[in-house]
Amino acid sequence: MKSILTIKNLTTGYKSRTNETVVTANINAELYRGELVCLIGPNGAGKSTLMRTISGFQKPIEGEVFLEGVDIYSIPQKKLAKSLSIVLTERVNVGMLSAYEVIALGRYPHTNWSGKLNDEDHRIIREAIEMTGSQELVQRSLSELSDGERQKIMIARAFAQEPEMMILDEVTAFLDLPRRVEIMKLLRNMASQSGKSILLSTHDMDLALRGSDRIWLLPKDGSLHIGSPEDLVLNGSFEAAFKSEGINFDKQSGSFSIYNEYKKSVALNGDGHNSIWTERALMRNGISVDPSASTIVTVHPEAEKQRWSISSDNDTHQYESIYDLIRGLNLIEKS
Amino acid sequence: MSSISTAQPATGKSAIKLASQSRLFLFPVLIVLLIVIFLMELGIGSVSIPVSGIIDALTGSSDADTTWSTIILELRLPRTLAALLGGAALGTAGLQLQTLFKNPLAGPWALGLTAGAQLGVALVVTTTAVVGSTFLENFEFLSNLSIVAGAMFGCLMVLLLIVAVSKHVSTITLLIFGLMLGFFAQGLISVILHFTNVSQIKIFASWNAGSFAGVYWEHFPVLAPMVLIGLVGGWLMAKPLNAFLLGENYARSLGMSVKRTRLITLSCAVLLAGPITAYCGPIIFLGLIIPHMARGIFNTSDHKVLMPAVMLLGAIVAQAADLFVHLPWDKHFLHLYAVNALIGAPVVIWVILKNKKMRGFEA
Repeated sequence: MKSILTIKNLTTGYKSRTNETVVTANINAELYRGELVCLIGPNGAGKSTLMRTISGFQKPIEGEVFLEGVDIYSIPQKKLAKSLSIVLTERVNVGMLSAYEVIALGRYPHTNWSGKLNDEDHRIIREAIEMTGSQELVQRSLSELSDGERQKIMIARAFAQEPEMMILDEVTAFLDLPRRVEIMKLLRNMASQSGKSILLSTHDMDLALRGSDRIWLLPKDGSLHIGSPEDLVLNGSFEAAFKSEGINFDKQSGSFSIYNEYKKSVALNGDGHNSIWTERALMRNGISVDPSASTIVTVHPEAEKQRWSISSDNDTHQYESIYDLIRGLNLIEKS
Repeated sequence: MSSISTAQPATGKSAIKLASQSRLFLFPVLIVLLIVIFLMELGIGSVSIPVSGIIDALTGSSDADTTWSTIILELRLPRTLAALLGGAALGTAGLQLQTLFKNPLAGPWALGLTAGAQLGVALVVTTTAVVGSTFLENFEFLSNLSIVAGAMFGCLMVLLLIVAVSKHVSTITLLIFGLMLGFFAQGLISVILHFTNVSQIKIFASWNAGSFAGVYWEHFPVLAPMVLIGLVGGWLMAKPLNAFLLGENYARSLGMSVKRTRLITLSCAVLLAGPITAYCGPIIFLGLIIPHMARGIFNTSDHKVLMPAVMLLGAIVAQAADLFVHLPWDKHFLHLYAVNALIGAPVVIWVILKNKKMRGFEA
């Protein structure tokens, strides 16, 4: 497979005359054609610095970045714009430009001094509109669009730039879940259909796990772990990266939970959905499930009215909701 | 079968019709308006001259009335052309500054550029007076290149100050900073003028009121080329200014050189605002309001449309204001700044009220 982006021994950070602040050290990575890669990691791990360095905005302390085999820092800005486009978190205020005109700005590096668009330019803009499904939006003014719609237009603009690689920095940060899923789907299609390489930094670990071809996981120690989402789950990289952040990664469900030290344990009887959600509630409250525990929580079949009961020693209490059950457990602990 | 083929979606040309494109027919309308107001400027005044008389005078026809010809060629034509150039120049400079500073209230006057030019002129006037030159006794001093140089220098100094401050402050703060710079310059001017004699203060005061009527033919060889270079430069920078709307990061990612664009655009703004202020005095509000009128009329922020639009609209509005000043009033007391303020202030208030961010509801 041909690699679009090659990162060799890259150390990012900030250099001033007196000192050097290293953010990420000695990174090696490659990005292939048609690949969607998510860069994830806790805040402060240096995602933004790495993204800025890879985009050519910031010079590295050490190491090299090659775009299609050429040193990215030696490529003139104008030429680089034809191989690399970006989408940022920031909300742009373009005044009275329509969404179509904003997408058309993606043609900037391809047009002459006057910026006049020819038929080919319009064709590529239309392709970008179709690819992002923004046909309904393009005649409207960008300022009228919702945050999710605006980001779709900015992605279409980056696509219209006809780059080999697109770098997107936290573009879903201000969006609600349906919009985040939509953007992720869109980027997946874009990568696989057009063959563009897409690097997306995100906080949304759940979507990154489900949607990306590969994950670049950047823990706070400044190293970079690369692999398919599943590989990183199985080899424990995920758990390690977020453990110090107070977040517990559950290999079974592939999701994160708020990390608690377990204060006590109970035995859990029952099955079905009620039982699964009861267990979640217990874990959320720092109570682990242990069949040998002396306190027994029973989840009754759904038909019965009192659906939860706690039996400890010779006492039994009945509850109608999980909320009451948890309160009951806390009371028993205190007495 | 042919009906099926016509039902196919249009290929090649974009089928999407944009609001900004649908209003392009307004350009011919503006051009007609410009010609009409140009003729009105030449024809209306304390002496009324019919269109046929204007055409005879302009074409140098043998039927031309000599008095009319003199009035038109020596008085009204230079004044009208100054208004035309001045309006176009200030409108263009205003648009450039508004986009560059991402500030809808920017303009040569609002940012203090005009005041800088005034200060420069005051300095030149005073120093030449101190060394005993008598050429300031009449308006001929305006043709002096040193006045233009002084105006441009003052303009440039203020602009550099504004550029330095603009990175650290918000939209409104920058505006207040510009206005305060203006007041400060006015204060300095008063102090400086203290050292000149009364007749020179009078000359400066009449220049300082701002008018297109002080421009004569001998000024055009300096004024016109500078303004034309600024206008052409403005037009050439339409594409990068469009990219600038996305913000610096995006603009750079599109391959635009932020530094170069900024340098060229600001140079153009100085080239446009400096000489006009030197010859016409401070013309307030025009540079600020013309871009808003252009955006409102053409419903776009696309500089490829806005650049010619601000030039045309600026020329039209400046001539209209000048015409209003020179209507045959009983008492000749109407000033250009009064007319500009009466049009300008409401427009600025409208811009502030329309803009959520500026009303202070949004950070």
